[in-house]
Amino acid sequence: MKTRIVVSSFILLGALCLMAGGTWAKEVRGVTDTEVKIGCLVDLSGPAKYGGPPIAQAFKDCVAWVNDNGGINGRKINLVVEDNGIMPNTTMKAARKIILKDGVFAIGFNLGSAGASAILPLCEENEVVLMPHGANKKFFYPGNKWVFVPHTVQYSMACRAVEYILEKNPKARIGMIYQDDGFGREGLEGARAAAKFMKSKLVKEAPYKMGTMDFTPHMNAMKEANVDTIVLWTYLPQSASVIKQKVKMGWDVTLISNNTTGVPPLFALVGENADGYMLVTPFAPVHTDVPGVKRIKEINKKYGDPKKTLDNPMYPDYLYLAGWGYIEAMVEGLKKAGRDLTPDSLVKGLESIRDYNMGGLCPNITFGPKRHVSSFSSLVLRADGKAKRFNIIDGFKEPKTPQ
Amino acid sequence: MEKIIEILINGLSTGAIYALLALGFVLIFKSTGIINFAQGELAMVGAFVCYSFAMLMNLPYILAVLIALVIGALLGSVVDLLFFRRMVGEPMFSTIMVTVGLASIVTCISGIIWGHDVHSIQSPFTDKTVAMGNLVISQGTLYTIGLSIVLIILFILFFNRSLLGIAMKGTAEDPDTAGLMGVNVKKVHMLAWAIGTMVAVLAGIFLAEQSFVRLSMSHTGIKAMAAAILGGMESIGGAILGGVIIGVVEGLAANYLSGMELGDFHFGDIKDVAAFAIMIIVLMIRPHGIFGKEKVERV
Amino acid sequence: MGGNFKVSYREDMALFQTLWVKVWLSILILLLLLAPYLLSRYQLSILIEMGIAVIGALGLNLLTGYTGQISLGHGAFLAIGAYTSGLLTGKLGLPFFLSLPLSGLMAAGLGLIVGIPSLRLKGLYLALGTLAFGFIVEYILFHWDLTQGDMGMAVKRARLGDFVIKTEKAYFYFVMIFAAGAAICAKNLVRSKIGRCFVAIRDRDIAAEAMGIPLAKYKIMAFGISAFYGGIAGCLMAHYQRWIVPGSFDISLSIAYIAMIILGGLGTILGSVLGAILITGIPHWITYLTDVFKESYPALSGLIVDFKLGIFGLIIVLTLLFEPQGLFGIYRRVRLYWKTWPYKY
Repeated sequence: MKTRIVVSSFILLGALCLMAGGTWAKEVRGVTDTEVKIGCLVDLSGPAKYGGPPIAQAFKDCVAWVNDNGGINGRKINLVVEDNGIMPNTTMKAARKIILKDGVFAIGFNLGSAGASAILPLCEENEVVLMPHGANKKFFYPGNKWVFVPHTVQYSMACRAVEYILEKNPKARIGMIYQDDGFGREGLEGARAAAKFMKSKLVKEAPYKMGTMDFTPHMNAMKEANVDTIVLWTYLPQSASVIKQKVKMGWDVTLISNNTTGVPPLFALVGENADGYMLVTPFAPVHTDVPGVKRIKEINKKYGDPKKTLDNPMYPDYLYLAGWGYIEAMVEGLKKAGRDLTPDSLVKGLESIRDYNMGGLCPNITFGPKRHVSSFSSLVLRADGKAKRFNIIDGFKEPKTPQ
Repeated sequence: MEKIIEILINGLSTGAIYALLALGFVLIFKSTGIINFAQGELAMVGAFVCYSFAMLMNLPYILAVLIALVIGALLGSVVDLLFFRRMVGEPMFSTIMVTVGLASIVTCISGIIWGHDVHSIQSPFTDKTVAMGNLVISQGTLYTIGLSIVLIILFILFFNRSLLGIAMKGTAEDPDTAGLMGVNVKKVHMLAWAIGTMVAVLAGIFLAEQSFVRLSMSHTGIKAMAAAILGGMESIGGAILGGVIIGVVEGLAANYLSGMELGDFHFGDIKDVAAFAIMIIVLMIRPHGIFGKEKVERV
Repeated sequence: MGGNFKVSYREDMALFQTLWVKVWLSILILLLLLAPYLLSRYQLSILIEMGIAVIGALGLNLLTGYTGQISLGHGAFLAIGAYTSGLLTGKLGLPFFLSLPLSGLMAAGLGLIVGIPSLRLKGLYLALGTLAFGFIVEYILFHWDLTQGDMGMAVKRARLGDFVIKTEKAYFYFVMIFAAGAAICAKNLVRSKIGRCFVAIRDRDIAAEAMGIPLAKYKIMAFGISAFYGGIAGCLMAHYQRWIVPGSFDISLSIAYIAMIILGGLGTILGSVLGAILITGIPHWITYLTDVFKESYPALSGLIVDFKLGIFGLIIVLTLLFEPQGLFGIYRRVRLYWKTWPYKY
């Protein structure tokens, strides 16, 4: 008797499984006559919490500005900011929520490399355009219909860093300390490719686990290999640790790093020892006198809270600018997609952006059907320990190494 | 040869911090029988308190350290009062899990208070070095090693010579009997937590001196625990030996194994895993650590 | 125990002990059958997550709650299951109905190996050993080209013959069948000889050995079975998410599973189910709360987000301090209270 009940309920279950396949025609998710919903996944909690609020702020300021000026093709943007907690599984939950529950039309930002990979199938399934921020080379090479990368990726920046060093001194002995994950390894690949292209090589490579703060063994290995320049594919705390270790060892070695470390808190951590620290970044420092930066400063003044953001000397300005680059790309894509807004028309719209002028804030944005990355070029900055800021020492240039 | 010596010295300095943290474990374990997975988190809180007083309120460094120690002692007593007083006699699983839970609560609250950013403490020996021939050693490292040695000797004397120390040992062995013998068990437990947390706070401040203050510095706690276990939870000497072994193994692994590639397997940063692998291997051979004694269990 | 006296061994061993249990169960099954037609895709996705968590929590409870072996590395077994199935279907093109049991078996195999030190290690030592195991698994997944490092790898959709399990609805039924099956298997296991051996080992392993229970066999078996459950849960998770990264299976996942069984009640089947549902639900509930307060009280909303990190720890601590038997203990007390009301007993 009991077995029969169990068996029959399982058969019923199976039948229901088969029935559950029907789909129905529907309007476009997240788009109404007056509104389009755009998602923004950033860290509001967890270890990368410092990164989230500036990006969200840039999105809010830009959206307020766009909506104030009549929106896009008659639609206002409705921004949905959600905490993704940097970890892949928390990112997955956040993405599922904003796509399935809030019903966003597209995701304008996602912070974190592994998390972006993790939500890719979800975006493909639901036809969501995704703009990830992180180690992104694989998102445009070989490429994915739904993913657009509106910034210069780590690979290109690493090429630029190594080329800059080797152009100054072709005999430089370059070592590399890199974070042992997708971010650091993409930098490593870029650095290796550029060194090979310039007929040189990396003398020593030292990986470190994310979160490491003790760089004694790494720096000792570098010194032993008789290195004169170290390329750092690290985050801010690790860069600061390396600088501290350098001082401890009394060793005068040239350091060049990536955009994530180019924030004022570096000076709070190591003070004047930061002097001479170089980095490659696609975003101009906020004190630079270029039209792009001036424009967003005005918008920030009108819609945001400049005292807490861009005018604050400790503000991680590159994150704000990065957020700005993303939302502008999205807005431009929406404009070009026209009034008839569908996921496919947004993809077409984004792909038709050519040389969109960012006014020197970051490289101009160009997408194409075969190119889902906005640019390859970047700046080289140098830290001024006394003035506590970064200055441009080499303008926007694309690396020569084939990308 | 010179390289080996350098690795050994660096291992020793990392090991000294592990040993100091491990000392806190052993102290609390020896008196209350509770294994504190939150030791690293307490160290982190101590470093943040020191940072708040030294950098945000601009008090002299030494004063900030003293205040941090006092607050650490208070924190330890509060933790005992709130959580562990009711846990006496509970099974091992419950006590371990309460400390694991406590660890994440402490991290969460610290995150709310101090944020997730990295900070630095300017101490009198920041960025100062001592040169000995070819070797350059930072003053912070020397102070860490020196003070650790002094503290460890003090604790060994305390546990073996003083009445209170012996009372603490006895309480861990059998709280009921100790109570009958006139030991105020509750007071002893609270004292152990206060001292254990104080030691952790000191370790945290030294750790901050070597790098920076941040939430994730609490991860060192797990490694220090591995060190304590390696040495056998019972003995202070074992904790020191364990700390140094883990420090040196990490140094060796970072120098000779990290970054290697074996077919399609990248070694990456193998430092941490090497430490744990050594711990597992030692535990397989000696399940109670190097100096640990097997306890006779009654059925 | 108020009123329900068992007069035969058969009755004591029955799977569902009273008529009421059967009634409630059939209502539950009916609700689950209807759920996909009443709920949105998002709500279904949460239920799927819960179903998978139920399977994993049952496994951990068999090991920790019934056999008394601490494991801080349960997340690693989910990772092994997920990656095994992902690689088998992806690289070797094995069908899903084969890769699913194989992923469980693979996890079980490694579980047996982890179980061997448990013969010598106890309590704290075992806790740290399993913790280290979790770290090592994560390290290997991170650094092996086959698993494509921390950026993760794609997993194919689950497919049974020609039928591809595509929609949330279909996957919901699929997961629920497995969750129900896992619960029934676990329930059967614990009332068998094996289950009673587990409990004996938990209560006093030396006494159990003296009574003629081979410790080695049953301890290792507990690890194997628990890992098997974990592997199946991991496999189901992988094919639902279709992208797996090592970072999803770190120590925080293991702690979440421990929170589940502690909150639900150690050594109970119903407790594992309840705990898994609640602990999986809490982050979603927090997200809901932040959304509610986002407009009116942004500061409060920010505070709630910060609180997310410590919530599982808080649950573990509060449960162990005030209700060590978990929700199941509360349920039992409440039932007893009403049965004997207005008398105390």
